[in-house]
Formats: sequence, C-alpha cells, structure tokens
Amino acid sequence: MTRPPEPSAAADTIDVPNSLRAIFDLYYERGWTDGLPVIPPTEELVAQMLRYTDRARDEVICELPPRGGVATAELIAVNCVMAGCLPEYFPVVLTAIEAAMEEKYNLYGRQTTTNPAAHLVLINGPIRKELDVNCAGQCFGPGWRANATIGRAVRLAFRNIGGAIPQVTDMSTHGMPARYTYCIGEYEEESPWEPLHVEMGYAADTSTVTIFPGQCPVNSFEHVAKTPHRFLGTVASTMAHLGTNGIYRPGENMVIFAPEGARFLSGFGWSKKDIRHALFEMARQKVKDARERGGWFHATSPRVWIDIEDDEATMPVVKSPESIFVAVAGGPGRHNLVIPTTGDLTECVTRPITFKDGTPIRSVKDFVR
Amino acid sequence: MASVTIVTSAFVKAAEAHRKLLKQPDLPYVAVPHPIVSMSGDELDASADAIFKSVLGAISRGHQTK
Repeated sequence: MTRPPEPSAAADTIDVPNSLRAIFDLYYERGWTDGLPVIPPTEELVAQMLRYTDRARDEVICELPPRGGVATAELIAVNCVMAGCLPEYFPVVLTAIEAAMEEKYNLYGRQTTTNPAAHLVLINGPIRKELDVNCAGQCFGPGWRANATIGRAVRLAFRNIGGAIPQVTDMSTHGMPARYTYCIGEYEEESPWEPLHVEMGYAADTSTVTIFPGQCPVNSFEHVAKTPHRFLGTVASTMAHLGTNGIYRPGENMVIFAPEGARFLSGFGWSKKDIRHALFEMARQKVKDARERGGWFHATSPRVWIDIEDDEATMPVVKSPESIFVAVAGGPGRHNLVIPTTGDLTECVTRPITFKDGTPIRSVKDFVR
Repeated sequence: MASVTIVTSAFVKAAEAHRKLLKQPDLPYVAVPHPIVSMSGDELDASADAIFKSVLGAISRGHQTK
C-alpha cells in the first residue's frame, strides 16, 4: 500500500492489517483524511490513476504551501485514489492544482487564512460530458462521483502534500462545507451565452479548469422581478451584504445563474458584459453604512477614488465589472448563486487541460491510446 | 536580513507548526494577546510597547547568528 504524502517526494509503502476499518482508523489517526473514509491507495490503484497522464511518476508538478511539500504526479495520484476518483479524473485534478499554483491565486494565503473560503473547481468544455460532471440540478450537492471526488482530491492534496492542517496551519475560523469538496461544470448546453472558458479566450472544444477561491455559495432567489434591473438588483443585494469582504477589499465574485434566470436576462438582449456592468454599479454599500464596521480599516487602501468622507459615496464589492464571473449551472427554478471571495487577496485562474507539451487534450482517452 | 514574526496568542500553534514545516526551528516570533483586530489605537500602542523589548531581542539575536 502506498503511503500518502509526507514532505519527501516519493511515496513510501506501509503494511497494514487487511481490514478496511483498521486502514481507515490508521489514516485518520495519522491525519491523512478529511474525516470521511478513504479508498486505500494501493500500488495497483495508483498505477491505474497514473495511466491518465503523460507525466512521469516522479515528476515534480509543484511545491505546495505552506509546507512546501513536493507534489509529484504519484503523490497527487495517491490523493486522487484516496478521494475516490476514477482514473479518468486525474487530468482535471492535476490541472486544478497547477492552476492554484499561479502566483495570483495566492495559495499560501488560501491555505492558512482565517477566512472560510474554499477552492471551487469549475469545469468547462467537452470533458464535462465525458466524465459525467454534474452541471444541472444539485450540481453543488451530493450524488455525482466526479463532482464529489475531484473537489475532494484537490482538498486532500492540499492538506496532505501542502500541509494545510485544520487548527494547526489552516486557521479558518469556521471552515466551510465546501472544504470537503467543491466542483461543478458549467451547463453550457443550457446557457444562452458563451461559456466561461470561451470568454477567457479558449476554444469551445477545449476543456478547461477554473479554480476560483470562493466561499460557499449564497442563494439569491428571484421569482417575481419582471425587468433585468429588478432581477439583478436582487443578485446585487446578495453580493453586497454587510460583512462580505469585498466591500472593504474588493476582489472577484462569481454569479451562477440557473438556466431559467439566464434565459430571462438573455430574453431582454442582455449579454454577460451587460450583466457584469449592471452588477458592478448595483452591488455596493454606501460609505455611511460601511463606515466603522466590517473591515473599514482597509477601506481606503485600494480605492483612493472613493471619497470616504462622503456619506452617500458608494463602495463596489468587486474591483471592476470584469471581476464578476458569470456562469450558468443548475436545474429548474429561479434560484441564482453568488460566490464571494476573500477579496483582493486572490484571483481565480483558468487553465486548459493539456498534455505535458501544452497541447490541449481532446479526450481523457488520449492518454491511454 | 534579521526579522521577527509577530503573532497573536491564538496563532502560537500555527507559528510552531510553521517552524517545523519550514525546517527553521529557531525562526523567531513574538506573541501578543489575542485579539488585536478590535483594539483601539491606544490599546494597540500599549500592546506594541509590551512586546517591544522581546522584538528587539529577537532581531538582535537574528543579527548575531548571521
């Protein structure tokens, strides 16, 4: 049985009693799990996982903070097995981890902050269907193996290789349920707009992973509004509630529209760009309401153009309209979701799923042909 | 460059963990009572005054070891 990650780059083998209960107990006692049972990463299962990459088993993918743990392809595969991933999911997990290592994502900060933010893995492109990633009803909920285990594998790798240990180095005040797993696909087939990865400049048939440093989604239901402004006013209010980081440290937000809401807005001719601009204007708090509370001591740092002496001046919760990411997912119903972040301390990253040479894959089967 | 990390008492465990993770068992840090985020300016000044000598000592030791 291969041993989950320690700071050393290669997995060790350990002998354990041939009992699932004993194995889980051992893994839990050693701090290698999220508290839920894991699949024992046997050599055979890890080898199966590694078939779905052209990276060498011992290739160093990155060093994960805060420990600076060396994440080899093998160690990432170990965590994928433990999470319950099918081998076909491996390229997605690998890409998500590489994306999180881009400097602007600030993974060190994300791994150690008191903030409850997690790591949303948003999948675009044809790989969603190939892996049966749920983009529709209950996409954030239980029931789909890809959603449940891809997000979990990323978390386990960050914990076991990176050393983000709750109450020790991971100092999140409360944590969040999204820290067990947090993965969906965009429901491109039900979207009236171009999908997120196309907006980012990728071809529609390129599969991508976006890692977004989001907190848990906040529901914003809107069953009554008859105009886009009224409809988006509800969403904006959800974005700009007192206590959200963005008022004081404006960063990024993601808004997930269910297909019904997306079609409603699109029916008025509204594009994603229109929506972003409208939300940027509406998702604000007045200075008089934001003053001397929340994170007021940060209020002036990034935005000298706001007159904080003016009670009626308004403070947007994102840096710019382009800092609002719009995606479509979910089932029937006029519920929409707002996903806030820590604010200006982190930015999301989108990466294509590629071979080692950077060529986008067309199918995960490309690795085993 | 010699430096010292200042943490609040609630983060001492994290500071000790980082010493191990970074393989720098002597990485200096000084703790102040938790929390500081809600302190007034005067209270924060008093908290800083209370650790000033400890910070100075830690930085001096850092210089000596370089």
